[in-house]
Amino acid sequence: MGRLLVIGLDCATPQLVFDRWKNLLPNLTGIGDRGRRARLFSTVPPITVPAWTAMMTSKDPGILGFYGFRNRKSYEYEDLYYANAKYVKEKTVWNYLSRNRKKSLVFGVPQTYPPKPLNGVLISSFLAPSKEVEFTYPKEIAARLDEIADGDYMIDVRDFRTEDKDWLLESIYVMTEKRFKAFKTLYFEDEYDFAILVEMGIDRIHHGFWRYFDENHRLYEPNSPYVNAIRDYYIRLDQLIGELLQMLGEDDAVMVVSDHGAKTMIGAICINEWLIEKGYLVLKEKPTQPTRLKTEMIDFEKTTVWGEGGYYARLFFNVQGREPLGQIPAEEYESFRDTFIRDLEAIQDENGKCIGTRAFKPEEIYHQVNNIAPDVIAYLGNLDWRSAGSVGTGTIHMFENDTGPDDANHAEEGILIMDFPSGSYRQIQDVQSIYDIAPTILDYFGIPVPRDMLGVSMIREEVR
Amino acid sequence: MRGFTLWVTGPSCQNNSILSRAIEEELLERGMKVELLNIDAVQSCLLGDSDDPLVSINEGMKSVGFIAHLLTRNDVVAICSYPSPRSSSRDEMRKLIGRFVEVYCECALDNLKKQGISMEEWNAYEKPDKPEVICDLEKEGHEECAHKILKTLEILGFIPPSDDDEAYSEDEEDKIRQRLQDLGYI
Repeated sequence: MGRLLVIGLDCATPQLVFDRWKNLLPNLTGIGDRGRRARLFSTVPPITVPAWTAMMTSKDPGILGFYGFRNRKSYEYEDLYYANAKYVKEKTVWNYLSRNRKKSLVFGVPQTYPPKPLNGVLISSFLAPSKEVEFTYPKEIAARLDEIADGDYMIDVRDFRTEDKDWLLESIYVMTEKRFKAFKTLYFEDEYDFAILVEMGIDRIHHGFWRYFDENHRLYEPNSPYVNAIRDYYIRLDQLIGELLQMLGEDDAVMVVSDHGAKTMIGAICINEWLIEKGYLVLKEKPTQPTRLKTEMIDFEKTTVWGEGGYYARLFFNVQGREPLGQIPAEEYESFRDTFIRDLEAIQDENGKCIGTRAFKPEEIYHQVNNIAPDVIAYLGNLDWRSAGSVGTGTIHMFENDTGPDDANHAEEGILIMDFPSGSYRQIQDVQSIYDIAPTILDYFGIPVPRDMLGVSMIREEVR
Repeated sequence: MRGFTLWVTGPSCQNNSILSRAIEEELLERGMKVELLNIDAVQSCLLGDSDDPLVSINEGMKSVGFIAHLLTRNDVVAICSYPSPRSSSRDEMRKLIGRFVEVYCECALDNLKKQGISMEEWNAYEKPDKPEVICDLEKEGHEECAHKILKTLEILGFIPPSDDDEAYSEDEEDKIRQRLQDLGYI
């Protein structure tokens, strides 16, 4: 059994890697040709947090107890927390590997800040507030990262929502080059049984440049100088991955995964404007300019539902006996929710056509519902539309994002490409589950897969 | 982090072994250098040729204690789960090693009998006077016992505290909020 390298490409999308640019990506395509490839079905919601942690624990967001970056801590209206690594109570693959004396290099996996000790090295991700804080384990590695990365290791691009596309594009390249260089140096100057690198560049470039290559995008610019920006970046990433592959041994195994895919964003539904129009939400005073909704603006004595923006919509109910000024009688909660979902699923585009929204009740999609989940999770137009939380926009439909330029939304399917050289595989389906990654990693190292993991190993015993 | 020795003792080798393994895994998960010295791991190479089981046990215990001493002074955590029925012998180990934590693992007589431990062996076992931790696996369960031991080690300063503070600082939270808004996540 050799080492196992997992390359995580946040937001890498199967339509581009497996189809559109397959022939331009010889290394990614080669891994799949030698091994297996599949689309990887993400969590609900398909968002960086909780998706990567779900992948690394084989637990769904309900079990993990967080449903996005920001979560409700109590039923008070403004009691929210950011789900950092301290909220991850389930064991990750590197927890199990450490227990079994396997050494790990965990590099840039989201939701690993603040870093927890392990047998190996951990460099946390873009959820570290800055490089001024302790963002690596052991902490001395931070200085080493700077040293390797030409004096300034980059956790993430600094300002993602910008109109300065030249600057953004350059920043994404600089970040990726530095991160691959740092990873490669650390990986090959020590002996690690397991290593995972998560690169955020694809996510950033999708959101920033999707309109320039996708002919179906509403804001498509056919003669834009950025028409090949995303394609060229994928090609460069493929080369960097090729450099890593060249340094692996014959027995080493490799997986390339993404936490979700991407798709064209048609626009944004101003979810709170829609709630106001439908009478679910009442503000004390309606702003005349687009304004981010704050709970202090809401007249909770007249409000039954309020929502939050993001790549999907989170809807919170104001329930009697639960929220301080609850309005929905507890015994009517279910019937209210059913009616509300019917309304939500009937949302139309600006031309009056139903956009095909999908709404989920947390207890119906998760194995458990820990902590406080939204009452309803919604994919507006099945993720063709994002959720804009602003009020005072004067419209329900927006075609520029309320928080700055953004061209792409997240899609439910990411990628899985794997090559286990000595191995054989169990039947790999066209679509595998994000929950199958952790069991496969443990199985590769001969560690029994815990029975409470949701996924199954994709390899057979003889792979070991 | 400095080394120390966790000496797990009690009349039931089986219980001691289960508990030691649980603590070993917990400390490994926290990135510590840990070695488990139990009867299975050291019997073949450390025990002498004597046919007298008591002589073997005493010789073995001295050897285990000496290795634990070496590991401890080289900043490795040594977890010893080795039959050590005599209180005076364990006290000698405490003196030798210095950074020493004794865990007494209780076991009811009925359970000992089920494990094939005779009254003679039970009578030969001397309880520690002042163990740092007392555990009862049957009553408390593995997780609670392991938690109790880890908390004791934290309080004694032998291992870093597991951080239960779940929030970012106010300043950190502002930075994260801004960042997530910039990224379109919230």
